[in-house]
Amino acid sequence: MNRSSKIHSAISCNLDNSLLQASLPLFSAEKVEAIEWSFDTLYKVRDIPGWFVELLQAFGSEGRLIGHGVYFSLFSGKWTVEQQHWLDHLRKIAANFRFDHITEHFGFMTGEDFHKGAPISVPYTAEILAIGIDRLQRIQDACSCPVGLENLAFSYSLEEVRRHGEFLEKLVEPVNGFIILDLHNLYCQLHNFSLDFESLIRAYPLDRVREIHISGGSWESSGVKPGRSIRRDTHDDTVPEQVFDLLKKALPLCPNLKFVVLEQLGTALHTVESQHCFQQDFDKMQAIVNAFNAENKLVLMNNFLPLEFLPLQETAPESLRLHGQQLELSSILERTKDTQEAFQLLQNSSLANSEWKTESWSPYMLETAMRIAQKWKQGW
Amino acid sequence: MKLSANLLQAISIGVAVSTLTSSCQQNM
Repeated sequence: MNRSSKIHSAISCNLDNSLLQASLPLFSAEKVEAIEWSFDTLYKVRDIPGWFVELLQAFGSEGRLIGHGVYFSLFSGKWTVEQQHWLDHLRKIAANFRFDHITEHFGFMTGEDFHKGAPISVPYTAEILAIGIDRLQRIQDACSCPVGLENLAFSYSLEEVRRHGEFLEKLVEPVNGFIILDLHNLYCQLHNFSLDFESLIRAYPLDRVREIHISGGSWESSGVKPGRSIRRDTHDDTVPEQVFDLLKKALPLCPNLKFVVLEQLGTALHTVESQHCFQQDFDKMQAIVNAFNAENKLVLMNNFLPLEFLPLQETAPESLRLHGQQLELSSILERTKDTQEAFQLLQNSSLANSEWKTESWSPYMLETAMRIAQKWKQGW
Repeated sequence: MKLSANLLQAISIGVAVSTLTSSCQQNM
């Protein structure tokens, strides 16, 4: 299972004019070593251009294509027809393109239909863990390659932040899955909960990190705590210097790391200047990765393929109680105007005095959850 | 990673055409 390897510098690459314009000089200069494609975001596109298919195949044939899902909603309490369609779609494209691995986001989607909303966290209970493991097994069954999950940028409370890494490990361990360590998400947690890198990073299963994300984000002022700024993972700006510093610190800690990916939304790359900054960010990221590669011989100890065959349950496990709570929470987050009203509604909801521990949520993080849910409730 | 000159040209043209088309829609 052991094999020597180097870490590949990659970009998120989707069918987006601005993102592709920003990426073209990097492709031409042969700098891009891998691409990450959000394979489930083309649901509005009738025909994928031949050149985009050829681009995916070119990287796929070299084992340098990785897939990153957006809409599956791993922890939805109710199993839906749309989730089954998502898996059927994944099975088809995994037959057409050679993915080195497939990943999804942690959490459940708040939106009222499958392609709306944003991923929000769930309580770390045994019942919810079982649902997550089942869904990961189904993803792995559909794609027949390693599967992983990305750490979440958003948390309601400090306790949740501290336990996130441990819960992620319990989730992926049964399928021998891996973690995407999103360093900008980590940066959000470090700032929003006043934590230090050394103590938080050790809470993650670093031997299961196969991919790292870096990106930019934005600052938002809190209305409920004047003077308090919240860091948001909005992917709409250049990579902060602090995130490059986190990358330098994280590389030596992740013995099974294979890909480092620069992410940015095409909506933030409309100007020539922003595209130039994207290219500069890539060069800076690649220089850090190359310097690490030059000084370290990486021997990957885990290929993250299943260690044993695990038959799927005939019926996908559900929790209708969890489903009801998620509907209530989504409605409160999407429709409430201020946090005081939101807390009152939560107190009178099925989430009160439950494993959701809404009573201990930070007011400024509840406010942030409302902003996230309301921003994305009409879809991407 | 090295991509063929033909593919790079196809991407460049594809993106340019797509950009012009969406520009027309937003508004030869």
